[in-house]
Amino acid sequence: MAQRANFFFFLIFLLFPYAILIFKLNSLGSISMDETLWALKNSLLQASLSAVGSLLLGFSMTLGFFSLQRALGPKHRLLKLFQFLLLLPTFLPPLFILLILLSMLNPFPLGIPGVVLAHVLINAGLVCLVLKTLVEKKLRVLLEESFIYGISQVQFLGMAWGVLRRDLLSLFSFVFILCFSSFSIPLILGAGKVSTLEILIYEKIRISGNWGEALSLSLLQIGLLFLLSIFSPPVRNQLFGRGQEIHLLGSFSGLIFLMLYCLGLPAFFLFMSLSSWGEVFRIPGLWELCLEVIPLSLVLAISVGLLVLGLLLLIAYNSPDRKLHRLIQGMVSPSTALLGLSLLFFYPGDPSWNLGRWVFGFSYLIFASLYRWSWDQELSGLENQIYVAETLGASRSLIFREILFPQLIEPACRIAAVASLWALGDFALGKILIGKTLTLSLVIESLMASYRIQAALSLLALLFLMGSFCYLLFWSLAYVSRRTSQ
Amino acid sequence: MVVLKNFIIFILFIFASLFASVVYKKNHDSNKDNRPVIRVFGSSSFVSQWGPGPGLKDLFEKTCECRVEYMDSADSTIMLQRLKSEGRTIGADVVLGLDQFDLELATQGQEWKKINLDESSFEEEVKPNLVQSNLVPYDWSLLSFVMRKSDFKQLPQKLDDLMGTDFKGQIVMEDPRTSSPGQQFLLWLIQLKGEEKAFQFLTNFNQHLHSYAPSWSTAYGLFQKAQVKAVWSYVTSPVYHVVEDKSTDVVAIDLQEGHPAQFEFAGIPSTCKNCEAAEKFMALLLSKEGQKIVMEKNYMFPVIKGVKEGTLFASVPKYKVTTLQVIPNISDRERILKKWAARRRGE
Repeated sequence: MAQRANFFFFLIFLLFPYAILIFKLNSLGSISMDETLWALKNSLLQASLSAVGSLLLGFSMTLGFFSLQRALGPKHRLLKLFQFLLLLPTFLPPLFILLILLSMLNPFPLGIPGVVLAHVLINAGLVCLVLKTLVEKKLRVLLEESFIYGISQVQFLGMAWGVLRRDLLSLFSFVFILCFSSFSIPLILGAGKVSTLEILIYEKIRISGNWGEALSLSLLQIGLLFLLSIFSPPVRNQLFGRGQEIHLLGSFSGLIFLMLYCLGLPAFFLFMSLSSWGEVFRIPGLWELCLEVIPLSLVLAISVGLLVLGLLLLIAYNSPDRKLHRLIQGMVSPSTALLGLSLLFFYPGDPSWNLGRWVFGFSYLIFASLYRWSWDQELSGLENQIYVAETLGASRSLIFREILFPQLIEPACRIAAVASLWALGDFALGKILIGKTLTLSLVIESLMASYRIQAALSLLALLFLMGSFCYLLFWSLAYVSRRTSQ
Repeated sequence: MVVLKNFIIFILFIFASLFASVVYKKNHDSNKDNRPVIRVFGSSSFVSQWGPGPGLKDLFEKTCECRVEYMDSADSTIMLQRLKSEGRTIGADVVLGLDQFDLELATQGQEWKKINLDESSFEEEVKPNLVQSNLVPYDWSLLSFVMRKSDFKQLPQKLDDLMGTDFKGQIVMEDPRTSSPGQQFLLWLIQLKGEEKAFQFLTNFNQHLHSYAPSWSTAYGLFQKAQVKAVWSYVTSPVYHVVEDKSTDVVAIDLQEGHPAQFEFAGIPSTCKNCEAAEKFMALLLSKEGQKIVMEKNYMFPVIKGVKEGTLFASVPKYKVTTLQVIPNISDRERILKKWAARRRGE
């Protein structure tokens, strides 16, 4: 009963923007097949290549991470810093990612190659973190046995593929969906040649104000991704081992990639940001405004983190639920403009709800992605334990309290940390829903809109600092949770 | 478990402290002020602290027994859709930041209050845009290629000069599908050369581009960070660099073909709540004092005569205006943009 209620809760939660839009806009526009097929082809192509590229670079960096782990020791605190740095490219506004990329690689390839390269660089860090966890959890036994029997690295990789195949497909679909629904990068780096479904949706809204057609395209997009989720296989349960030989997977070239990614990109970014720090004090009132918006920016980011944490634990409480898993796997948020509009329709006219609306809307926007990122794998890893406990007659709340919560609170906090990081960097939805420059990313956006790019760049360092604070907060929660549950 | 409990309390304490400081500030601010509110929706560049918004607010609140509350309208199409769907509940008294291309959409299914104007006080270039007495331009500028003098031995004088090797991969344009200046360029080019010749020109011109940026701010950001040498922007952009960077190196080139003009419009929706104050606000916006603030903060020309004299804006060279004689309607624009996108695909 509770499981069914939970399913319906998430069904309503995930579908409500579409329902509001259909109800309020009162029509679905007919789609022009020509341009839709072209956009679809581009979306599929760039998303597939980006996903493959991200997995390859992410895999290489994972091997590099194990080398680093061997050099520093598995418990070294610097490893946590590296984990944070791996996430950095995912929360910077696209223009800044673009500036970093263009400065590092001149001339930067445009069109599909440029879009793919940018997506790979943005998402490889996320992939690396997932792969690291996957390898640690699922390849330990295999690694130990391979070590004992003296199996070659090539043979080992062949067997590892057998174990991780489903997880890799799941990870592929996670990156694929992220890139499929990406907007700014294809628009900027596509150089007008790469029109994706997301761009087409925006065109419909911006040029002709045709919200009905935009909504139809959005529904088509969600339908396609839902189909993809039906065909993607469920992941397997985890295997346990001591993991003493995990360092054997290390790779020197992977370490170089990891260093370039974790140190090169942030160093470049911080140099770009801090070299014009004086700009912040040159513009009258800017520093005071920053000090004013910092508390609210943090409150909002932490709220998003806590809301996501709550939703994840709610899913865990009622797990395993295959139907719910399929539903979330196939969900993708409508484009920011459509989501923003649907939330504005919901309880309209009262600006005092704007901040709450944004917290809810942003959590909605990233929730399905975060679920696909690693939560489904975490849950599937515990299925056997749940079945055993149920067979022994344990109640749902007992299972949650004694089995799930102690094992899941750490990864849940890790995901919440990412959610709060992303929330700090958002300005697209904030611009629509908040309506005032109340957060630091909105201050940055308004500076960019009025020629002041240097000051905007400088403030990114502050955003970086706040991101570190949020990440540290949730990471500490994860750390304490793990220690207390041991 | 005790440690976890304590830690959760610690996190909640941090969260509550931050939350309390936000709530305290909000209450502290609103307790001081119980005057009626006039809600103005505008672009982020207008309503932000460094835009004209705060200056106009201070000026307006001196004479009006009310409080101006700015809202960032994010995007004009979202704003217009909200006006149509939410009507009075949105509480918009004044809407700013519509451009020429938004006017058709703005008047479809949305009523605007008539604004009394003294047409003689408007600049000559602006007068053709006063045909709709309910949506009034409040600033404008011509568009051109903006570049640094120091980057080139000789500045281009006509569009064909941009095809030189100096410019190969050095120009950033705004994507016409997502940006108003980008759309201005495309439609202006079509008016100038005729549709087929314009697209032929674009086929060559696109080879010289660095990229099409989704917005003016992204394009200008690339120019400011020296990723490109030329950007399609406003002829008033160099004034920003004189004022803020004390540099006269940035110039807008004077094209023999002339330049399209972009106008920003404001209006009072018929669903306004504080309509009387909204009318007064519009009057201030179109007064000399108001226009001076808009000009200096938005880096755009004023629409009223006698404002820019004695300022840096008066020193902006006189460019030849070849503004769009007819704004194509929505379906025509859609057709042109589809054609543009199809040509880009084929390149």
